[in-house]
Amino acid sequence: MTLDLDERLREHYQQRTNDLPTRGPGLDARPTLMLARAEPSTPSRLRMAVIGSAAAALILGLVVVSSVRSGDDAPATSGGPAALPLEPVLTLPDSPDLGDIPVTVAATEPVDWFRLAPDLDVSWYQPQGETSMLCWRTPVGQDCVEDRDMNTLPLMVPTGGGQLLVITRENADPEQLDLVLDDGTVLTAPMERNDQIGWGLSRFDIPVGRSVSGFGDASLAAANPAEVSGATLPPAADLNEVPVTIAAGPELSYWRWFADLDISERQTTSGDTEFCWRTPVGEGCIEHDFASPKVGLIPTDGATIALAQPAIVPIVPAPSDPNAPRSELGPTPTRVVATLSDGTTAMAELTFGDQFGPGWTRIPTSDGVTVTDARSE
Amino acid sequence: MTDPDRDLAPDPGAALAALYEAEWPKLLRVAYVLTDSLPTAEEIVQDAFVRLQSTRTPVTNPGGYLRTTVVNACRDLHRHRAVVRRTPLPVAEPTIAEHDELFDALAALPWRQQAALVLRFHVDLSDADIANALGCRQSTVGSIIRRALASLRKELES
Repeated sequence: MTLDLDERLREHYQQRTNDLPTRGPGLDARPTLMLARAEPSTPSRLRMAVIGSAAAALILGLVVVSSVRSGDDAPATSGGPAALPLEPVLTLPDSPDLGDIPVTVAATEPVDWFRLAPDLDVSWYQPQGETSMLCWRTPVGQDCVEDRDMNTLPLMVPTGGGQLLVITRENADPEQLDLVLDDGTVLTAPMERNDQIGWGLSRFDIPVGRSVSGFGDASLAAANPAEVSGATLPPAADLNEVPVTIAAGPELSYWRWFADLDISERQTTSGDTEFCWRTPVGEGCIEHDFASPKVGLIPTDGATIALAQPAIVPIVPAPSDPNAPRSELGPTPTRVVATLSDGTTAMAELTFGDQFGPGWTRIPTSDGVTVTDARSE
Repeated sequence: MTDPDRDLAPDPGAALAALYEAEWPKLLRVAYVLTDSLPTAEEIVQDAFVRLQSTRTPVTNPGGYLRTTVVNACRDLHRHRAVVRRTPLPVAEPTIAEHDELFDALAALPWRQQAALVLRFHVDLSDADIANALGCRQSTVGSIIRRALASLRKELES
């Protein structure tokens, strides 16, 4: 039976893709691939999705939960992978406006509601010619937000007993959701997925006075497990699983390279890219140019992380074929030589990992000493 | 032919062109099966290559990077459609003409199961590569596929 189904699937996919083109556009027209950089002013849908998610997390994550709590000062009951699901404290009554099928209604206010949880109904409506709206109601309140594609979710909704309901799209690991509070505390709650609309719902008990600063999978480990001797970054739930380049703008989208280093590559308004970082000692952006002998320097706790990569050098003599490449990667640098502010010189071997392009090394620094200059060779 | 699991160095332009030629058809098929729209699939694949190219720094395992980018984009689109499908579209995107029972059964699966089946039975990826593309643990891939096949079997027999 398994073999039959396997074969049937292969045949099904093959049939569906039989008529697809076998070559990408452009290759027939020119001998070499010419890929244009996306215009910074018109970021692609993918980049917009990244930015939209980050913006949504920022905007909706700033919900101050204390204002809707009933006043008790109970500690957070969730936390860690073994967290048990919380039960609703209050529930919504049955209502004649409840439907079994989630639909968007042409109307000027929510009409048909869909019960997502015993204490949560959601509804969609769209006034003629206007943006579709997403509404929610719980025992403690009701509100509507613009249903703008990706940006509407996550939705953080207060409900009875001082609980917070977090509605998300399907997560990479839909079994649980982590919330990071403004004091760095990570709360974990199981995520229940509604198969009808594909949304996840998690229930949290937020300590009085705390607000949500991020959500997602805080257990995401650093891509590079290299041991870090100094302080490490706190859990963050807004990390990408892979490094991505985002469009120019105020938002960043980090990838955790090391336990003490998050990076985010971002286009600049001039169409170039910059390399933004955050470590336990701060954050900033540097020019994304580590081509040897240049070195990118990032301060962290007890050390400076140095980044370097091969330079692109012209091919000598220049090829006569006008379509042939004119440049190539130069030799891979193997070490960084740094001058410290106390006048000493330090050398450190570069390591090239398999997660990210530039090579890296750490130059230990004591209190008050900084790296003033460095080169790779 | 470029090995998609190798770095693009030492000749980034030529290697990227070769990678494009080798990977584009496979990525298009994955994106098409997961989006059911050729224009959308083409756009997603093209965006993936633009993203790969725009990183500027060498990307180790560009084939895996592209697959992950494409699968993530399809997932984003799927989530977007979950909202949009509740609003009638003025113009439907082109879809395949006939939907058989397997098509319907596949469409009813959770998105991650759909993606895992495509990557396994259409692209023949290993568990490790599927795990990378889906952003899950390698040990999870087997259970995702088992659950998907069980659901399909149940649906097809009913």
